[in-house]
Amino acid sequence: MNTQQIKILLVDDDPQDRRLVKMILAKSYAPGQCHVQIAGTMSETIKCLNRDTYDVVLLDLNLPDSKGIDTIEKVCDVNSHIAIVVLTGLDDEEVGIAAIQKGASDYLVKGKYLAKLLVRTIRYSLERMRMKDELRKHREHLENEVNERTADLQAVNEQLRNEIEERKQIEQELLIAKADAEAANEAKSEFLANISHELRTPLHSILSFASFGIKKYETAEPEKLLDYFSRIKSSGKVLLSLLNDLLDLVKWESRKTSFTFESANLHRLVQSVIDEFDTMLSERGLHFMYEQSDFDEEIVLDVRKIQQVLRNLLNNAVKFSPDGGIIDIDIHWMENAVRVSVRDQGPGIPPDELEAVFDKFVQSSKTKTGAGGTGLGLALCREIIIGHDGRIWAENRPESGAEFIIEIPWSMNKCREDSDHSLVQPVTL
Amino acid sequence: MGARAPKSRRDKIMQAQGKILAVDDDPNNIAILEELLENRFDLRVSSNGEQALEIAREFRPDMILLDIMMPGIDGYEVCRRLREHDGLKDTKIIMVSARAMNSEQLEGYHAGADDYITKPFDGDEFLEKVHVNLNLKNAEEVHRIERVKCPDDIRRFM
Repeated sequence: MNTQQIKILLVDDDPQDRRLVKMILAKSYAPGQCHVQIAGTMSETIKCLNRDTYDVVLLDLNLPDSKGIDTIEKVCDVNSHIAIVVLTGLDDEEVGIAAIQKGASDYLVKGKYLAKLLVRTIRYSLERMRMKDELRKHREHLENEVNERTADLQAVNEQLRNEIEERKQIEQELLIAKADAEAANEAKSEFLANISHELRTPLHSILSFASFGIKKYETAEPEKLLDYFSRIKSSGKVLLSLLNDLLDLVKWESRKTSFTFESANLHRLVQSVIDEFDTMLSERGLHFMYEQSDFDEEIVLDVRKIQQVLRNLLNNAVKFSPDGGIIDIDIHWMENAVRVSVRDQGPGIPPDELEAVFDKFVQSSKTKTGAGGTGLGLALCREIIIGHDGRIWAENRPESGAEFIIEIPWSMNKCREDSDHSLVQPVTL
Repeated sequence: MGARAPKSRRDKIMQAQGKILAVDDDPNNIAILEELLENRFDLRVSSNGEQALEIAREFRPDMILLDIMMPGIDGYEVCRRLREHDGLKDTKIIMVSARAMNSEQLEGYHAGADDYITKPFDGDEFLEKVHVNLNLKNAEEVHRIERVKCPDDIRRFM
């Protein structure tokens, strides 16, 4: 401590007192160990405090510009961490206590004991200040520590909360995935049960009529045997088309179907499918009403697949039309898309089945007839049209009968034409 | 259907006269049932549930052969409605369906069916089932009539 230099600010407006104090200090400290700065007024004091740091302020309370206890407050306002020793001319206990309450470390009465007490008071004040400072630092340290820990805990808390949130979300996702998987599984079981049913029905006919033939070939009329064979053949055909549809569907579901897009004349495409139905129409006295529209443009599509869709729709229309009925076929060119519609005069579709008829193995309850069908045709149509970025839907006509509409957007054609190489390029779904 | 049933049994089938209503929306299935039953029984056919209910009320068949997957009301529902009809309480209802799942068969029984035959079926076995069920129906009918006829004091012991 002795080696440390003590910086003292001596505040006193009385030159005699200043001299006295300086003398005492000079006597008490080794040369250079104590540096004393003098201030005669409060304004000087404030300047000094602002400019330099001091260890101790020896403060006379009565200055030209500040009187009494206020003087201490003013010093404290500038620097609250400095040791203040009040020097007073009056031996007044109350003033001393008030000074200490205001923030002074100690007080000394100027007089005969000053020389004896000054250095000791300075030392004690410094020591008290140092301890106060340490306490303060310690408290601050503790506070910091508490704050840090609190912050840590809050961070951990936050992290845990996030983790819980995350897990909840994962759990939610897992539940959804589980539900999806279960639904898929159920759909698969239902699909298999349906396939079983659809396979058994024609097989039943084949086996039964073959058995009748075997049993009665000697006695039955040739016409009867012919009837058996015809039924076996038609049931075999149903079986084959079911298998073909199934195969198509499997290809679709394993995403192995590719499209071959090319520019084609839609009118000619529709006409070619219509022509396939010639014999079937005359057998049942049905008529197709189709007029080529004035507007005609090449359109980019997969010819074979769109033919398949049209064939399916016409087949349905024929199947469900009463004998002698009329089936309307229409091409409607719109600004962004082209529509092809097929309207029949059949029994129509119950409103709650209008969407379901496009699901696998779903047949309209109203229109399901002995003519059969695999329940896969419209499901395939939908896949194909989706592959063209288009849509397909069914409506009931006000005058009874069903209408199936496919819509293929122009935008898709434009974008495929823009990327010039895409024309005859297979596009994997 | 290869092996032929013994002659005596075949005669029994011939004798087991009865009225049968066959309900199926598939013309082939109807043709098969006609081929098997036409010369042996008094047979009526129907291609849908609503019509079958009408025919049943007036025809009072001993047995109804019922397909499940049909347009309009399905076989299960037809079966339930038939069972509600007083005059058809003893009528044997046999489901004849290509739906082969166990759960589907159980649903048939729950709807009130007496038996369930899965397509494809063997013709001879099918005829046997028809025969057994018709005999059972006759026996039940006789039993009921006797119960009505016999005096109360004896009925207590039955």
